Amino acid sequence: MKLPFLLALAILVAALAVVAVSNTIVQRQIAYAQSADENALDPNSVGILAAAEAPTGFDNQTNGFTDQTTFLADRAAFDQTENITDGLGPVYNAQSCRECHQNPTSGAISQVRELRAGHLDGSGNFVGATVTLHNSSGTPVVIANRSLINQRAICPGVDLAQGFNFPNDFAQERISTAETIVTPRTSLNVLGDGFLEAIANGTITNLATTQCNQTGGAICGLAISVPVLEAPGQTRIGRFGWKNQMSSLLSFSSDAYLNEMGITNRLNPNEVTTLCDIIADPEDKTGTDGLQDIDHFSRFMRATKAPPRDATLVNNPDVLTGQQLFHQVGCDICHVSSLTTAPPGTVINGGAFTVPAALGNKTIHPFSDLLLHDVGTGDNIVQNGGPDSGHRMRTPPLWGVRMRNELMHDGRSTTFFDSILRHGGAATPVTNNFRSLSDADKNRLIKFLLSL
Amino acid sequence: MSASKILLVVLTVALFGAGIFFILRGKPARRTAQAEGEKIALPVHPPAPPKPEEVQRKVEQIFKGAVMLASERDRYFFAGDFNGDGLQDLAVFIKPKPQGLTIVNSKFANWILEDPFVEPHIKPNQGLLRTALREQAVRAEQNDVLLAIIHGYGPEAWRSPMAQQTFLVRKAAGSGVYPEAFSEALLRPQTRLLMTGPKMDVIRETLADKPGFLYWTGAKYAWHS
Repeated sequence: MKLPFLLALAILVAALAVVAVSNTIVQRQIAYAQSADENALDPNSVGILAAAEAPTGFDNQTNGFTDQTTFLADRAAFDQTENITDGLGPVYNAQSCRECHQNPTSGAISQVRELRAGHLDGSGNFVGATVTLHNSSGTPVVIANRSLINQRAICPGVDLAQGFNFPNDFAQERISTAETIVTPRTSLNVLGDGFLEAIANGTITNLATTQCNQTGGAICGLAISVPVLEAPGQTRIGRFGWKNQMSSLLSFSSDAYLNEMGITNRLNPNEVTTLCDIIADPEDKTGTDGLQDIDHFSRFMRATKAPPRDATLVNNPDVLTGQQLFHQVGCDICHVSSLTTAPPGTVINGGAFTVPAALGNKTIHPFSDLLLHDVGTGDNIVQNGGPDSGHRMRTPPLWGVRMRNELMHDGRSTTFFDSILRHGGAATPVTNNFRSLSDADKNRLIKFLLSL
Repeated sequence: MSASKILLVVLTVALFGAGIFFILRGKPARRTAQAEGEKIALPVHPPAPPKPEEVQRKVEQIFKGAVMLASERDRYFFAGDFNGDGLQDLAVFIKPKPQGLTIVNSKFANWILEDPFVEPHIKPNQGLLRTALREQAVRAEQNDVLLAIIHGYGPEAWRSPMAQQTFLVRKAAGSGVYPEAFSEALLRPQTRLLMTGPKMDVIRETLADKPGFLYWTGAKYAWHS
C-alpha cells in the first residue's frame, strides 16, 4: 500500500512544480507585457522570454522603427549644416550632428574631441569653468560654471567690412589658468542608441548589484538618475554620454543642439551666452510636419541599426579564442556582451515614450553595462552624477570600436593594448589577468576587439 | 523495494521538481538603487617611506629580471601620489639589462613606455588598425636610465602585489629629483596644463638644464618646464 501512495505523492509534487513553473512563466510574461514600470523590469535576469537579435549594419537602412523614407529624411536633418541665420552659436563646436557622428556613416563616431574644463573648490567639489568673453565696448561677458568649452564662435571681433553681424564682439572661449582640470572628450557613436534607450532601468540596476556581489565589492558600477527633459519632474537612469548625463535620446538631441551647435530649442530655450545672439529663441522651429529638428534627430537615432561586427574577422579562430579570453579575463564584467531590451509596450522616459516592437525585446551586444566606473581614468568632472561621479566614466560600448584609432574617453591611447593597460582603479584585477596572458593570447584578445 | 528506497525515489523526484522550479524561476527583478562600493580604500596610516629591499622586490615583480636598479643615482627611488588617486605610488630609476632590452621594448610588455615630451599621435599608416600588433611610438635604448612609476592599488598602495600598472618614462633622468605636492605655485607661470586635477604630487627635477616637473595628465606623464 505504501508504494503506490508514495509514487502518487512524488508525481503530485512533480506536477505541482511544473504547474508552478508554468504559472511563473505566464505571470512574468504578463507582467512584462503590461508593466508600465521599467524600474521593475529586467528581461536579462529572467531568461525565459525569447528575444530576437537586433539588426546591425552600417548600411543606412532603418531598423524598422520608421519606414525607410522617413529614416532618410531624418538622416538628412541629422546631416544638415546649420548657419548663423539658423541660430548657430554664438559659441559652438560643430555645424551639424554628422560632424561628430559619421565614421563610417551618419550616426557613428568621429575623430572630433570636445574640450572640458573646471576646477575643484576648497571642499574638493568640481566647479565648471568660468569663461570671460568681451563685447564691442570691452565689457566682460561671463559664462560661469560650465565644463564644456566650445571651440568655435560666430563673432571673432573684426570690423564691419568683413561682414559679421557683431563687429568687435569677441566670443571665442578661452580657459584661464584657474581651471586646473582640462581634458578632451571623444565624440560617441549613436548608432543603435535606440536599443540602449529601450534598456529598462531594472536591467541596469541589476547589473550594478550583480557585478558588485560577484566581485566582492571590488567592481561596483554606479547608476545615476538624471532628468528627462521632455517629462518635467521625471528622472531616469542615465546611459548616454561619457558621464551618463542623459537618459533619453530626445533629451540628448536637445542638449547637443544647444551645447554643441548653439541652437536653442523647446527643451533648452536659453542661449549659453547672449553675446552676438540675434535669432529669437527658441531657434529650433516647428516644420510643416509638426516636428522640430530635435524630434528628427532622436527619431533618426532610434531607427538606426546597431554597429555590425567586422565580417572578415568575426569567424577568425584567433578572434573566437580572443572572445573567450575576453570573458575569461573578466573584461565582460563591465563590458557586458549581451543585453535584452524591455518588452514592447514598456513605458519609459518618464512616460514620454513607449518601447515599440522594432526596439523591444531585442538582444543587443553593446559590450557595456551602461554604468559609471572608476578605472583610474576619471577626469574629476561632474555633470549630472554628483560628487561620486567625478572619478568615474561610463563603460563605453565597444560595438563599432574598430572604427576608432584614438581610444578611451580622452582619445589619448592610440592602441588597444595601451588602452587596456590604462585600466587601473577598480579594473586592476582584470587588467592584471590580462597581463598574465601569454603574448599570443594578448594578441588574440586584441584581435577580438578589432572585430567589434 | 524497501521503504527507504521508495523514500529516496520520492525525495529525488521532489528535489528534481523543486530544482527545475527554482532554476526556471530566475532571479527576481530588483528595484535596488545604485550599487555602493568601488571606492578607493585609503590606507589607515600614512605609508612608510620605501626601503631599498622592497623597491628591489617590486621592480623584480614588475620587470621579471629585465632591468636593474639605477642605484648609482643619488636618489633612485621615492614615493608620492603621482596620479592623484589618494594612493602612494613608487617612482624608481632603472636600466635595461643587456639581455632585457628586447623585453623592455616588447610589443606585449606589461607597461606603457612613453616620452614625456611627446603627445602620442596616430601614424598616418595606422589607419583602422587592421593588425593587433602594437605600434611602439617610443623605444628604450641600451644605455637609457628610465623612470618607472608604479601606481598604487588598495590599502597597501604600491606595495600591494596587485599594484602592477606601470608607466616607463624615457628622458626623465635629470638632476635634483624630488617629489613635490602640486600647489597653486606651480600654476604661476601662466601656463595651461592638460591635466585632470590638482591633487597629485609632481616630480621636480632639472632636465637639459631646465627646471620643471613631470606630472600626470590623466593619460600619461608629461614634462612642464
